[in-house]
Amino acid sequence: MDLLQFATGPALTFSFAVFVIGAAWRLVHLFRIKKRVDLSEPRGPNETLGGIWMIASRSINHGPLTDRIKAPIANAYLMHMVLFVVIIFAADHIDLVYDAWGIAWPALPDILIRVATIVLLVTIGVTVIRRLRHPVLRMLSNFDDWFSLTVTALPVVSGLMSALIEPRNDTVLAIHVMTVNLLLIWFPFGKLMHMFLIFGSRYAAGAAFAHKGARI
Amino acid sequence: MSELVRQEPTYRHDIQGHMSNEERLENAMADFARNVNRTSATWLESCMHCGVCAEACQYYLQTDDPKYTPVWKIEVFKQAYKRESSPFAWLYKKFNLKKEVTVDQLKEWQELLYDSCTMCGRCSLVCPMCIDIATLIGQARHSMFTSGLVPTELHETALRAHDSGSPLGATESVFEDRVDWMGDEFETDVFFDEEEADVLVTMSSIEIMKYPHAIGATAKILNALGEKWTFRGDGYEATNFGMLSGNTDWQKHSSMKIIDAAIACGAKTVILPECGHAYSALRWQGANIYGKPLPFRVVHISEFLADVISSGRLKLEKVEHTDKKYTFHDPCQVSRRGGATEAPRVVMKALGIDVAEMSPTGDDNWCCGGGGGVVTIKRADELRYKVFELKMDQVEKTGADTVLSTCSNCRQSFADSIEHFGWDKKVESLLELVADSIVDD
Repeated sequence: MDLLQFATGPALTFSFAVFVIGAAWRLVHLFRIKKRVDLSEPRGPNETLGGIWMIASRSINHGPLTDRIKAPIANAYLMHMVLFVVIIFAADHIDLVYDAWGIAWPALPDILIRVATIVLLVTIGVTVIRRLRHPVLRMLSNFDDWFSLTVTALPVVSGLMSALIEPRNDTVLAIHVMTVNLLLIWFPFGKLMHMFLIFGSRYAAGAAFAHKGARI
Repeated sequence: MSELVRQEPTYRHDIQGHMSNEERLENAMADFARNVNRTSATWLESCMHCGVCAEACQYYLQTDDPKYTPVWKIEVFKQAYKRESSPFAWLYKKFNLKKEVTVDQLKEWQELLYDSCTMCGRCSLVCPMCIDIATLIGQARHSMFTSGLVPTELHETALRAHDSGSPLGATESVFEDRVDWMGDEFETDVFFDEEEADVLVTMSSIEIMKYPHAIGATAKILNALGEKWTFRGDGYEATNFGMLSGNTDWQKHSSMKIIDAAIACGAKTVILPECGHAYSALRWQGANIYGKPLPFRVVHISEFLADVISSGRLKLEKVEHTDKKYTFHDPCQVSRRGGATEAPRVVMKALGIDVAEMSPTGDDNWCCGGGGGVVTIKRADELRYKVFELKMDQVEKTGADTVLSTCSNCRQSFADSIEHFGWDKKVESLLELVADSIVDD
């Protein structure tokens, strides 16, 4: 078994299992905690709708923000959108899914994916620089913040290297897959879990404030 | 986990009671763990450390001090949650990845939890994860109280409210005297300790002691409507310093007085006065304190006025004889966190007031800086005035000379700052303006 076979075989299986079990455990743990029942007379028409609405609306309405925070938020949006495009629409990624589960969808041209990857790296770089320079972010940042950024950036860098090197280099590709494995293993333990928690957190606030008929 | 650059809060704290450090810590942690529910746990899990909340907080924007970042104010409780009861607590504990919270940390955080947060909830409007930090601050305050780590003035005020029934000395006999006085002053009937009434009216201590015209104004309006109403000596005080200081028992004690009084006289409606936190305490937390839905409707006076105006029951003459230019200050607990943002605007429209709205206004409006018990904390005055400069700037930009509000605590906070700065503005009550504008049928 060579390094690529190991990375895409037992290592990927293990890291995927950690990802699924860990993320599920973190979510199940929350559902096991007692739910607060609000006995006050509701003003709003529907808490469930309020919660669902908040999941969507907070992505559009960011509230009363100062101008100076708008650029960093735009950067964060760009980072997430490009990350999504690269993960979902890179031809090699679709091939991997097809090999594993037999499903596929149209891929974007390689050149677009490469440009998107470079944009992604730039947005990650901006995020790192801002976190290092901004007093609030310096104060808030802990190991989780830095390690999560690192394990997010590593697959991007290694993936770009793998795509750019001709002919295909199995060692570089194996390194790329191993960095993805690292990302999957870390995912449930740190802030990357916001990918799932965002739904619960927004829903909870949306439902609570819909109960009051307040906007939030 | 190891943190990088970090500025700890300034070391300043008050303590109550004779407890060892271990007892204080144990009490705080046990209380916090007891009060964590699914929603608050989700919020504690969800922070991404993006720092966006700082940009919505008046304390951070007016000082540029990162320690006033809203989510940082609950950092020690996040730390405790992660270590003690999060899904991977065993991991954090085993490898000491999250350090144990210390009493010194709790003492250090006292300023952040009490002096520099009015629980206005503006941070929740911008948080990408919608974390309701104000609610978490409230839970943290409960824990601070159990460990005897509350700012002295706030603790004393809450204790006085619990012992005498009023934080400002508005005892039952004082209140009854004031009610009689205002009945004479307004030449209107006042009803006290009626055995049966449809409407129970409550007041805040600030109104009773500092702005007693609110008593007469409310009586005049209810009489004009022909309501069967009463004040009651066994349940008149709407402020709830138990809630603000973090003492659940005292909070319950205060709320139950009103609930029992309303039930005793068979009230169908309880009117809460121009007081923001009183609205939170009874309208939104009352039933939860009571343990079942309240057998009566709870409304803020501005909601009540908007209802009777909208239904045509209360006719007002337009405020056209005045050369005042009005703006309106939204009390955070009534508007943003209470959902009654439009009610005062319905009333102002009926009064024909061309209100010069602040920017931002409504749910996005800035807090006056005096809520959450902050106005009682002497050592926080300097910071409070600094924060109020933001509000002054807002008002100045409207060109208004008079600020209307529907919260006596905001009104007091404005009045105090007007005096402090020698500011040429006035602050008035919307309720009193309504009472002055009633059209007699």
